[in-house]
Amino acid sequence: MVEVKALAPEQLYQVCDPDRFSFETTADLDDPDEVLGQKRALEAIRFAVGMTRDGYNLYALGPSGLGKHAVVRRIIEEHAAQAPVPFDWCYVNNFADQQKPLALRLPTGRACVLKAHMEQLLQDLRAAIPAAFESDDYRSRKSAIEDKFKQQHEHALEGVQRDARERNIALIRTPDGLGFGPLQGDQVIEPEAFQALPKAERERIQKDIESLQEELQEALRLLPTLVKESRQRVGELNREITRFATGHLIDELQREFNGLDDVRAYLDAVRKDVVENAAIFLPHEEAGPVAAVMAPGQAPPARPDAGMDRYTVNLLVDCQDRTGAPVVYEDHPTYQRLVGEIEHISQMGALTTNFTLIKPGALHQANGGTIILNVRKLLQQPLSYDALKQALQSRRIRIEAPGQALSLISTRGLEPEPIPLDVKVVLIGEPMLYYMLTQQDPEFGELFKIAADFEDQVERTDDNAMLYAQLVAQRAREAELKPLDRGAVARILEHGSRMAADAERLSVRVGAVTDLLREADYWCSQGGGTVIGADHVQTALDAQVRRANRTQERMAEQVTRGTILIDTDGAEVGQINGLSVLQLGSFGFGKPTRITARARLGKGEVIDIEREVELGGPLHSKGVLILSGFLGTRFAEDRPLSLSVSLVFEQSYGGVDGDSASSTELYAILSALAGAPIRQGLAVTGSVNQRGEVQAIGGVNEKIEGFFDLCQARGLTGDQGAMIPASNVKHLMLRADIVAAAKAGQFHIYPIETIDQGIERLTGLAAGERGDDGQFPEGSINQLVEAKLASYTEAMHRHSGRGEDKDSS
Amino acid sequence: MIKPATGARRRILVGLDASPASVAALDAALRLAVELDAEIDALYVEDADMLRFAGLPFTRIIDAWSAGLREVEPPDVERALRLQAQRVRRHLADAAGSRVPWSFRVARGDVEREVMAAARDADLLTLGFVGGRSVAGRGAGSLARRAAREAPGSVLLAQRARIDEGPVVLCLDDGPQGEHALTTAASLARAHGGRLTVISFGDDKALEAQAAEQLKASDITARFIRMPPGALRAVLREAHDGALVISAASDLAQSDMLDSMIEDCACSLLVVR
Repeated sequence: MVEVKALAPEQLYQVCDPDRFSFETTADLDDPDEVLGQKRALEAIRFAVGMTRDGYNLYALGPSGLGKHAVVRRIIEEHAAQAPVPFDWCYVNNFADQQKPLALRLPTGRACVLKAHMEQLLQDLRAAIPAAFESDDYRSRKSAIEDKFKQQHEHALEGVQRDARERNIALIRTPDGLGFGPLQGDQVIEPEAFQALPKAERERIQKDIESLQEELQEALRLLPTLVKESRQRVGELNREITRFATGHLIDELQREFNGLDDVRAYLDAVRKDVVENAAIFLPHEEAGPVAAVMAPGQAPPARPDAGMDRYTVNLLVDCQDRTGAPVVYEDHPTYQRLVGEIEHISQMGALTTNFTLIKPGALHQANGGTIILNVRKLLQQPLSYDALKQALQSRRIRIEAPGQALSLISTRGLEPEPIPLDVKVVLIGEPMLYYMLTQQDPEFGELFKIAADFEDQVERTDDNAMLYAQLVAQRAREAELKPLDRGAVARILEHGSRMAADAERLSVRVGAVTDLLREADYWCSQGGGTVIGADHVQTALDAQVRRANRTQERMAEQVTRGTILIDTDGAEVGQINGLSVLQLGSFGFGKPTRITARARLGKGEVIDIEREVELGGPLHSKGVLILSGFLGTRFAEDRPLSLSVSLVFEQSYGGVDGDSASSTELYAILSALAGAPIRQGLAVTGSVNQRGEVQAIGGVNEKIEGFFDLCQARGLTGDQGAMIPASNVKHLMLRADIVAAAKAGQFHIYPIETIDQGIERLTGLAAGERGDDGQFPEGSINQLVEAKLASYTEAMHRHSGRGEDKDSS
Repeated sequence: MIKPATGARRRILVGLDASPASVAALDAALRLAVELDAEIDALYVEDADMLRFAGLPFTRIIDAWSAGLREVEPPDVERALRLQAQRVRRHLADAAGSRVPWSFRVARGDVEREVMAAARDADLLTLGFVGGRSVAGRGAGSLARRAAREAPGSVLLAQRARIDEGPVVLCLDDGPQGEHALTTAASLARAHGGRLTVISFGDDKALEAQAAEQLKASDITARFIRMPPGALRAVLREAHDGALVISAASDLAQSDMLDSMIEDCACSLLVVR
């Protein structure tokens, strides 16, 4: 029997010697030249930035707290600074169809010039048009037109009146209309006198009157035509006057935008529209008649500036103060904030809108550059992800109300002209979401061809240790914290290994490191210090644990008070201390659990009570089934395995999963079969394969610490310790008090490679190897187990034989 | 100022036939009544010609807007006249309110005869410039011409409801009626921002000086223009769409001149007696 030796104290914790650093404090350190451990991701980001083809958008994936956003943003901003400034964009009225505003693209800085010029033009038109309409020239020409048509009408009517008078007939105007009455003297003849006239005379008068009536009707029918013609002539005059008064103003503006065909076309449309709508520039009392002539049926504007909105410029994207291409991070990517929206205003109880109420979205702001989005936030917002994809696929930004996008609204709203889109999209998020999108959405892969996969750990080499120190220095500076001395940096680096759960690696979750720095800075300030030391870092770490470990303490208390039964000394058959990890939020801790095994004659089954009551997960069940394989292969290769073993996690009322207790369970079974007591001062973790090799598990540090805390609470005996898989030794970054106890010989960590090594350490008996005769040495664990199993088989045969006898009799 | 014929309060007679012009005259009279502290005597005359016309056997009415032809009976015309009278009375009551004392009466007969008879007791007779019988909507009616010539008191032929909106022009004349015309014009001008155009004929500097002094005392800014006698068109051009005030004793108010003036006039005309 070769006894497994306990690990040396220095194997339990990889110390970072402060003296390996040459600096005094982090104030002496420059920022790191490279991003720690993210070479692969950086290559991907740089490739995405340089690749301008369709679909080469980027997904930066990695666990949160790695500083992905900062890294991505820094590289993109470096690139954007060298890129050209994009165009300005604005929306203007579409005079041909107001429901479809036009998008105008202008060179950088020209859109706000256009807006200012249009505002000035409005001011000028407000002065020029009323002045033109108030001029004597206009008034006299208008009067001439109106008088001409009025006279035509009057002459027609007066002609009728004259004809009537010549026939001694009066044209009578009654409240209800016009009529003709024969005169007698200067009065209409009395009805009786008329009846007294000779019949021929009466008939003549009646005929005359009928003729006059026709004449009058004809004259009256002429009136609407004359009015219409008069209005048309006045309308033409108004247009001519407006054209004359405004033409030079718009000509001047067109010269200003020479070479910009779209803008010049827009200004032409403005010119035509102003001519047709000059009434809106006139004082209210004059606007009515002019509007009536220019646009019959339309009410004159209600307020002095009403209707002038149509000539304003809605400046959507103004790049005049920008250098380089834009880099936009939208932290609340709702549909509207992403693709823009059309706002509404309440007018007379109804919601109305126009092109001035079109608001840009983040895509407009990022057009020509890059937009960065958090993928989780993007997916949480209804319609946003689909809208982003739609924009990328069509390479255009179409602004529409969400209801319209879903075809829920059928009323006609604004349909702004879509704006061409040229943007690089960077999504930042967790790997899980990346894989989910890749699998579930066929379009995702087409649009996001590049993944920047961020590492969460790096090797703990000397170079990386120095980079880590520089990273700490940089973060401290950025967060405006006090500098750290070498000891503090060394302690943080050690904690980096603990976070990575690997003594040979470092966690690069810079978010957690920055939090630790801030908290250490706080404790330093509390103590009046000016430089953060290792003790401040340790205080911060202890405080973190203290804030989170209430549940851990309560559970430990239940053990020390005897509510939960865990032995830490003595020896018991078929009973062993297993170790598990409980994860509560971001805080995990180890917890010892008593595992017992009972064996009896049976049909070769290992009954996992946890599985039977559905408290065991699939991985746990897998581990238990492996035990059957091990037992059968080692002890019952050529005979039936005639036992029944029941395994249970005592006083466990929650679910159990993982196979890290499979070796522990096997020890309990072997103990039960061999009748060899197990030392209760040891706790065990490790999974096992069918060949009896002990395999690595996770959470080794927490597990050991959980058992140590219990032993320490009861008083360390010097015989206590934990057995771990040998392959987990490199993961050890144990607490200082455990290292100290190990150094003092009070607590031992045993690296175990095989089940035989483990059972020997637990029972003090040799495991035993088969000799040349194929037998295990007498008194060895394996011999005792095999003998027990043989007795079960024999007993089974006996029982079977009796049964056969009975059957045959 | 227009002198009261009897009693302390001046009396303004408004001859009404419910034409738009006569309603404008009523409004103009109400404004003057406020200025002059006068009372309104509104006389609505149901034109006997209309009633006779309605009683004829073949009477048809042509709608002024649609040119449609329809039959009409005397009761229809009577009802229409009654409704029109009610509308005018309501308009008067609303417009006068408690500011101006008023009365309203309805007479039936010949319009000219009824109005001229009633005008005997009035300080001022106000009529619409365009006659109720004018189908073309222009040109003064025969009543307006006759009233301007023959009415015992002053006469206002109103073109529109606000006679003080345009320029106020006075044709200067001597004598008591000339003086009344001056004070009346000054009163109108006060409502027109205190500006008055005074036209004098010939070279009567003393008359001009006296008028200037009087207007200055009344805080009226007067612009004096001299014109040759009989420069009727120039006078009307000066007054264009405002109000022209003349003395009944002046040459302009003589029969031929007055008829020509009324024929070509686009402004309201106030003949002061």
